[in-house]
Amino acid sequence: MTEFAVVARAMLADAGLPCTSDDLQLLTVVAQVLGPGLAALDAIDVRLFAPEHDLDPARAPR
Amino acid sequence: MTHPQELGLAAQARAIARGDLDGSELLDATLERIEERNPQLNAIIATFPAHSRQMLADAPRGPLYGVPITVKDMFGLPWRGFHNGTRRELGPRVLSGPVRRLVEAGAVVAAVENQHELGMGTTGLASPHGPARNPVNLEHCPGGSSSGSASAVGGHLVAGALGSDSGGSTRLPAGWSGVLGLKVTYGAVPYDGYSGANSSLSAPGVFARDSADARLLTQALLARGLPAGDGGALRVGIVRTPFWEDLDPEVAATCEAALGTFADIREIALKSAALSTPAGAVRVGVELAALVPDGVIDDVAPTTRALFQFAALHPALRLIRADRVRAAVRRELVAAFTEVDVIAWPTNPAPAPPLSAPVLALPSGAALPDGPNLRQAVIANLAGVPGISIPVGLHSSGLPIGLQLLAPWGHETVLLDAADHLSADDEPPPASR
Repeated sequence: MTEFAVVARAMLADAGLPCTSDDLQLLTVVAQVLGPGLAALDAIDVRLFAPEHDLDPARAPR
Repeated sequence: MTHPQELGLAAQARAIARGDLDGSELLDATLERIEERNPQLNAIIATFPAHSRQMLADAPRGPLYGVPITVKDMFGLPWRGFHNGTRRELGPRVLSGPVRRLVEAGAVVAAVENQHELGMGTTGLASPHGPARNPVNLEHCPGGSSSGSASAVGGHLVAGALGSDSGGSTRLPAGWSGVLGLKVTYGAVPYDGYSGANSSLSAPGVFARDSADARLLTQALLARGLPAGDGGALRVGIVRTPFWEDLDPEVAATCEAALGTFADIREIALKSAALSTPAGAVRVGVELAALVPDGVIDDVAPTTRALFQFAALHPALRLIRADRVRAAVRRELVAAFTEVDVIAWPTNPAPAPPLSAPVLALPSGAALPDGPNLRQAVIANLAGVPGISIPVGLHSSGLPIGLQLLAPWGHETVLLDAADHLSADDEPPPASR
């Protein structure tokens, strides 16, 4: 079992969600597809991205 | 005699208002058309003739008086709560806010549409009713998640439909199915009875076959006038990175040609746009998964279940990062819209893939559709701005190509002006039947 599969199974179990071996195979595909983008997101320096404290998608930022 | 569903929405409304077309006859003809064509398109999952006839009898004499429409399975009706593409009734039996707006304008709900299960996909493939089919080529995906909306309008079951858009679910199927699809500004309509009510991304969207019909339907949905302007005079910003990268070459060339008809086009940059895809994937996944009631995951397709499970794996820190990117993208859009009226790129990176092999052929290689489709679409959902997909031509495969435009919050009218401009000389793509 890959490291991702071990972690995924443990996290889902912790959340009380079922996870079969078929699920793990599909989850691995999803992780491969989204992985590079998520890695880029995880690598951002949050200090360079200011928050929008009153974010309302119905209007432009104040 | 021409079938009344060969008329557009505005033409139907005008014919009824003049007394040239009877609302009851139009409704009956529409239900017959659904019965005749839906076995091929699979765009519709429920009709309810008695309720539709009562709705017609009660309809106010508004701008859509007597015009049949169909609605996505994300909107409640008084006799049917939304199922959100599952076998279970997940919402209350109420006339949902977005549908109420159309009914108050005189529209008649003729049917509920098929959709991608729980809105968690851009192909339309995952559905307990089987996939809806592309109206231009039945062997291809219609797009999703509002798959039935695009298929029903493109297949001339109805002239207008109501869908929704949490990560491109109106614009993406419109692009693949050769119809107009317009996502309104987040929060511009009442959200009661709508499955997107707890989402910070989701907004209803309209489907139509031409820009005049889209304008009529959008006006009714927003309950305000959208006076037409000069679309050709709009300042159009082209955002190359990442939205024009790794595209089917014919898609890129066709969209470039369409943009060349505008008088003022210029290149602009959105610094954080490339991060909108992962930020949007996190937000879309988490928000959609959080709304799924207990037990539903046991009944859904394996791919839907995997996306649901994957959303549960995101660390909380990632959501914070996603929201910081979201804030940055919103600020960058505000700056961009001081320079241009709309920003533009292709709706889909490649034409609709076959149902039997749902993979996109991109310059970088074969790709599953959801990632590349999400890249093109989700920035509008993160920001909350309105967006439209306009048919601008056909691929050599015969499949439609859509151009996407985004506008500032509340400026739906400029998107419709652009559609007026682009569709002035165009023939719509042929329906498959």
